Amino acid sequence: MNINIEETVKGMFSELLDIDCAKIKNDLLLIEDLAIDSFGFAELSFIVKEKFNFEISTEDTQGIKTVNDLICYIKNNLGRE
Amino acid sequence: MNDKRVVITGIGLVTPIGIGKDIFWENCLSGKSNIRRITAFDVSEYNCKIASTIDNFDPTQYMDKIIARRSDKFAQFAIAAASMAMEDSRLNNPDPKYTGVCVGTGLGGMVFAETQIVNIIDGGNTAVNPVSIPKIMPNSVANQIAIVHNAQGPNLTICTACSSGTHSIGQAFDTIRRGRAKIMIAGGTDSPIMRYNFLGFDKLSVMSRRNDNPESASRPFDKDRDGFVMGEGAAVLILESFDHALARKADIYAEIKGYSVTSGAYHIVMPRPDAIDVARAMRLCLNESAVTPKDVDYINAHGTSTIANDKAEAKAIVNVFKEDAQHIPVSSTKSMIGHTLGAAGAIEAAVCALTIISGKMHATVNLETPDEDCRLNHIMKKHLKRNVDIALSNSFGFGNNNACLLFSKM
Repeated sequence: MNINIEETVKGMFSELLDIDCAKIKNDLLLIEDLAIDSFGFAELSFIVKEKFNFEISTEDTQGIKTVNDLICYIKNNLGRE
Repeated sequence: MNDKRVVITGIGLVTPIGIGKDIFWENCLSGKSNIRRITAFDVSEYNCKIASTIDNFDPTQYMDKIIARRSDKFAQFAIAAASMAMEDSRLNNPDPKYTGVCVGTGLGGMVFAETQIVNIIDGGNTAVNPVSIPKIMPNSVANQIAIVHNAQGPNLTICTACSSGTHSIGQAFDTIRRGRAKIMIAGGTDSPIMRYNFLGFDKLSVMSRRNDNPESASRPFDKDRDGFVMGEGAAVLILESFDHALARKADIYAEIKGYSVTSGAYHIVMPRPDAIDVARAMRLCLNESAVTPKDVDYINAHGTSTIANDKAEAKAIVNVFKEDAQHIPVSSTKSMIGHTLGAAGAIEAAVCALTIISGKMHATVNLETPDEDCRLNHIMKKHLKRNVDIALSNSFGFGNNNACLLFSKM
């Protein structure tokens, strides 16, 4: 399940940014490395909702700095709603 | 006012009878139609069940996936057409400050808007996609084209119903003449074939009910016409100051000589029966172009195939051209591609440019017996080969938005 979450998250980034899934490394920074701006983050949140059926709360977004942060966040919150 | 000459140096087309100018023109001259029964949604309870749709359009062939994802279908059509037009023009990194965009659309991102409204009803507030506003706003298309081509000059969006495409090219023409840009990426687009919009037009009883024979349904000026057929698509032209085109030895399709705008100030959907507003638009365009009625070699009619429009347009043409109206060849592109609303005028501007460069005027297909009230020199059955120096394009929209463009051979 954990592997699937990681793969799904990387697939989300790949789709969102139109780049190869293999290039999405866990330690990449969302803003600095992947150029995800606030609009991109809103899109990302929406995809998370579609794939995992819960929303990233506004206050939690501040703590998600890397790809791995998002993977962990989803693992910790899966089934919350 | 710096009255510069303006020429057309690039054409991009996304239409039901072809994506790209070469296939479009070939199909136009052979009288092809792609009007079919609608399968995208259930039309069993509609009066009109047919439309002119674009098959096999893959936006990612023409733009990156991020732009495609953030754009509704109407925008994707025009972004694709703009890239084709830019490639056709062979412009190479033009000065961004003097490169602008002007795109007309009748409806904007209605396709995506409809899905989001359904999502709210079915899934609640959290079901709304954050890309909604950038996808729906009508100006998104001109903005995305500017981003793709680094066009930092004037950026305009025109919304004048079915004449949006003609107004858009006219406004772009004026922008260059005033010296505000040297290059304008200008056109029109619409993607109106979705339930809400289609039902709206269906309830106005302005669309054909020839559901059993879709390809014969769009028959402008024919005595048995019974309404228009909705289409979708986009056309984008590269307009350029003549000096700029000359300096880079660009290939030129045609020159735009004149543009006119009038309003009938009469009715939100009906044309004025006396058509004096339409006649005035044509006269103003001829006057601005310093052209007499006798000089005109071809008229690309608005020709929607509705009872009221075709009658009013024919009356206006006779009013302006008098006895010459019986000699000047006239045809309607909508007979093949249906009415593409905000794209129509831009597609028809492209038709005029292609007519001038090729010396071939396409026919009004399905026109078998001209209406007694629409007596003009219609091109029927087969395209006509003849030199065309001057072509006039008419466009009229709901709300009595009238616009004409006049094109001449270089």
